[in-house]
Amino acid sequence: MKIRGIIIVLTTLLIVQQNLFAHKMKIFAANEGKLIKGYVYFSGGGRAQGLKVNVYDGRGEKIAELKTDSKGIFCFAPKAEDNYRFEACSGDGHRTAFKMENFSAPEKTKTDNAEKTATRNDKGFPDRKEFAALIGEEISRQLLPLKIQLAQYEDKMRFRDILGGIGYIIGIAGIYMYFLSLKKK
Amino acid sequence: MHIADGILSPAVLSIGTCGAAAGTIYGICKLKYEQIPRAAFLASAFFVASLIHIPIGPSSAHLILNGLVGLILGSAAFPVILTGLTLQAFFFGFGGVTVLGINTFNMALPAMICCFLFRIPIKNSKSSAAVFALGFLTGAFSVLLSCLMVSFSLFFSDENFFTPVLLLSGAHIPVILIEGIITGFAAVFLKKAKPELFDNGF
Repeated sequence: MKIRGIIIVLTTLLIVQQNLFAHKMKIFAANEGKLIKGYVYFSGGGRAQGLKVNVYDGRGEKIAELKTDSKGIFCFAPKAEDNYRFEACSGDGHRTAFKMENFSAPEKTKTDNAEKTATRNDKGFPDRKEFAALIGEEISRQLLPLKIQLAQYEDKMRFRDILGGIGYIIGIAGIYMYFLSLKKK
Repeated sequence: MHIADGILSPAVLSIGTCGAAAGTIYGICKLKYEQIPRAAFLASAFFVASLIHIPIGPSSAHLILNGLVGLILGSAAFPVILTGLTLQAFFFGFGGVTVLGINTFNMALPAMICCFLFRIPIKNSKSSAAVFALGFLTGAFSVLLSCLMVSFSLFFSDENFFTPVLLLSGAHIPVILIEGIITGFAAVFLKKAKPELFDNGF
């Protein structure tokens, strides 16, 4: 009777597991052209709106204070190539950080026409440096959704974690009972 | 409800760790051989309950079930909740390793207090309605108390945390109600199926 009840509870939990969500605040950032864009979100839940995000440089000094908009997005324009750390703190006990190492903004694509023609070679193609900058910018733009997807994928609650945890608890109980039973003899 | 790493001051952290250690040792000493499977089952329930997530506004809250753990296990709530929180920290990234002590303390102490307050009245009450009401109070009160303790932990670490503290308590009102109902039904069921569970006072 009791065992049946336990089995029913566990199977129900397994079935509704698809709808279970983690409760953890996360932050994600990626470079998009010259800017660093990112957002703060709850894994499984919504975005964190109007939250303060502190930006620290490679030496650990606070250099900027941003605020997330209604979609939880923040935007930062870095001045130099550096390691940046973004940290969000919700105040009710959640805190999360994201490190971005060796951020390097793709060099400015030159918009000045006069300069542009000047740097072009005889055949009218942009020179090597300009070309590399263009490609870098395009790649970082195209990779952004992929990076976001990867971060979301990592956050997915994995079913085997739940089973693993329950397994640990049963194991601990079993080991403890074994030692107690040795003492009893 | 789970406080993350690196927010609290060392003083609050050490008080929490000492409290949790004392409670855990006491709980393990009091835990009888035949209670271990029950404790393990509740540890599993506590571990999984934190995944049941209730979205509230911009933040979110999840079930805690510390009232139920306290009601059934009494003083063994400390080792059970410590186990659950440790696994949650490693598997799901809730809370963290340095804050295990204070998180355990904040959730297990209310569980024990509620057991102390409500177990004997539940044992003595005759009607199902009274048992349900007392069970509801157990579940609701333990979450409320945990909220207050988390708030105080944050407040004593940094006084700027006062407004979020109010937010935290507000966000947990649905959780308080749901936990009350769950614990209420559990109390009614256990009173019928296994009334000897409420026999020993604490």
